Amino acid sequence: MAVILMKIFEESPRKFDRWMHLLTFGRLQQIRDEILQTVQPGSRFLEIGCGTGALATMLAQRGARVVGIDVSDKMIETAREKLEEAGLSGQVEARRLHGLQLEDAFLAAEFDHVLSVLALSEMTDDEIDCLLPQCRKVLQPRGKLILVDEVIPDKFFSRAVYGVYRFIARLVTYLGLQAAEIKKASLLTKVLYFLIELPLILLTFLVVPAATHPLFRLEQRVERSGFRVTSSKSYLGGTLKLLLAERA
Amino acid sequence: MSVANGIAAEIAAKVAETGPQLDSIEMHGPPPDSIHAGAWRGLRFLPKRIFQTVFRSVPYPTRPRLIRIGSPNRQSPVLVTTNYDLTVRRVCRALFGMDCYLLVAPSGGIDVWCAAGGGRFTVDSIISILKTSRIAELVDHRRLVLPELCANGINMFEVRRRTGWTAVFGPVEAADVQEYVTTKKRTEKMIRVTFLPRERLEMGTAMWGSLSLRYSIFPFLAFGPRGAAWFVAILAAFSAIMSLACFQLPGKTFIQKAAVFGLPAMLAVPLGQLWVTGHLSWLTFEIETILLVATYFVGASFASYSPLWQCGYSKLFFGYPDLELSIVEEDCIGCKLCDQVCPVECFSPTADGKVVFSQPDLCEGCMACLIQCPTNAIINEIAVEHQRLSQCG
Repeated sequence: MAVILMKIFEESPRKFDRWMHLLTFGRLQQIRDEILQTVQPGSRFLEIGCGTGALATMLAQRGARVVGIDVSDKMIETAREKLEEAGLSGQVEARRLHGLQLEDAFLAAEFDHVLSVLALSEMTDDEIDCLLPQCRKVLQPRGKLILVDEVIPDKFFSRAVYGVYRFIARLVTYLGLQAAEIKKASLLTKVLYFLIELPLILLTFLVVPAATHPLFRLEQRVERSGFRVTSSKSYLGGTLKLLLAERA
Repeated sequence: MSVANGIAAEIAAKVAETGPQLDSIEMHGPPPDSIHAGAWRGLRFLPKRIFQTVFRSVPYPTRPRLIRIGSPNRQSPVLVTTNYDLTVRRVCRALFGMDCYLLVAPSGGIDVWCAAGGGRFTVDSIISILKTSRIAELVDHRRLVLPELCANGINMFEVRRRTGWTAVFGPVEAADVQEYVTTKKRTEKMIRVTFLPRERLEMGTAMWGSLSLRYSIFPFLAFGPRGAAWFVAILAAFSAIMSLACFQLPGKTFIQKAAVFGLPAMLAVPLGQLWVTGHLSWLTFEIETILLVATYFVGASFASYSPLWQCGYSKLFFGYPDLELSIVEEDCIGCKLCDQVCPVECFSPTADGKVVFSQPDLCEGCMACLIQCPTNAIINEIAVEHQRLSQCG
């Protein structure tokens, strides 16, 4: 699983969900189903990085009240349109908010569940360490934190294989994003662009850090921020993790 | 329980409540690889410096963090910059001797102007560094000094609305920050970009590195390694001439300016060889071709490496037209913010307290005025998308 590929599809929010389904080989839906089982009617959810609001919609259909936040204007706009279509605007609120502003935007103990699917890997380590205590703050006592994200596998062999796979995925993503930038140009210009820009693009690729990075020792970090991990499940050869934690 | 114990318990409780303290405060004064570290220790960073000089157009990220300059207190100014390694180093060096906080905001390792123009240095970056650095706990005021050249991407009113911090634009150059902080005034010199010989040579080197990397493959394929070597050498000479003499050379466009030294060189090579050896060789043909190509590339690229002229590159590959700005007179409230953020000098005040777009020829299309105008009185006649004017970021 290489979450990084999703960066390409963020440009077209409408197709985003279908691509995510393919990228995770259908596991994302499996994980979503698992999350949906925990929903009780009336429980309050906060989803960090809600994207187009696919999961928020499912949660709302089971009777939860959801606040979804995302930093991307495009995603929030699409989410609002979709919620309008589904007639769930009353139950789900999609808000453009930076994840690190949780403590400013919400009251303490405002939510029963804080949920984040594939959003932490887009943040730096410092940002994650700043975010988790804020999640704790807006959760009520014994409230649940549900994290789904790309992680570095524990086993040495899978770690090596995964490293190579991820490097290739990163390169494909990087080139894809470059191609997206010159979408409007003619084919000849495109070919010319890649022909002459390739050395510079590759050099830049080697120097800049990846847009997303798999998380390392997620459990320890979550526990350090004042949570107790209650269950943890791995998917796709240990590269995708569903982590449930309780506010300690 | 003694008072001291009580305080300790309180701190412990606070730490438990807010989670682990970040180690984002890690530096006092200039970074270890600055000139103040001493010549020998500085040598360790020589490869990095060469890379950053030659491949200036390639990002070079450093960790987003809070840097304490001197010994700041609760009233000390808070400055913001981006996490391009070279930028951070130069800003630290320029601020040496001052007491302040410097926030290095995440921007993909790109410099301030390009990152803001390309959508990598945004209000979100500022939120991120404000929160991770916990600067709010360190100072009593809520005032950020942003570099002026981020005005093409960061709306100061949006910073206020979304973070609660008041943002003001400081000078263009970090070297002027000390004067700005003490006098609290932005002079005309501080708010305009310069293109001094030293800066021109620096950008000329960057252009040389970038052009060599991009195009050397073609002379290599055509004429072999010798062709590539000639190409790189000729590019170096032409870049140096162009960057040093760009104001003096005659000609309207930069390609014309390049032709002023490129064509005589093309003439001199065969004549010189005829004079010395009496006949022409295959090498003459090689060098002639390379001279022609190098003249074109240096002429076509130089504007992209300057802070004064519009990037020709973005027009070629991305099809962006020139901006045609105009000011709706009824909407203009005469706040002169557009003039304050303009890196060149496009605007001038009128008698009735408003502003006119008086020098459109100088405009380089950074769109800072368009983004900052509080009443949206500045409009773009050609409706390009607001973001991504040039190939920034």
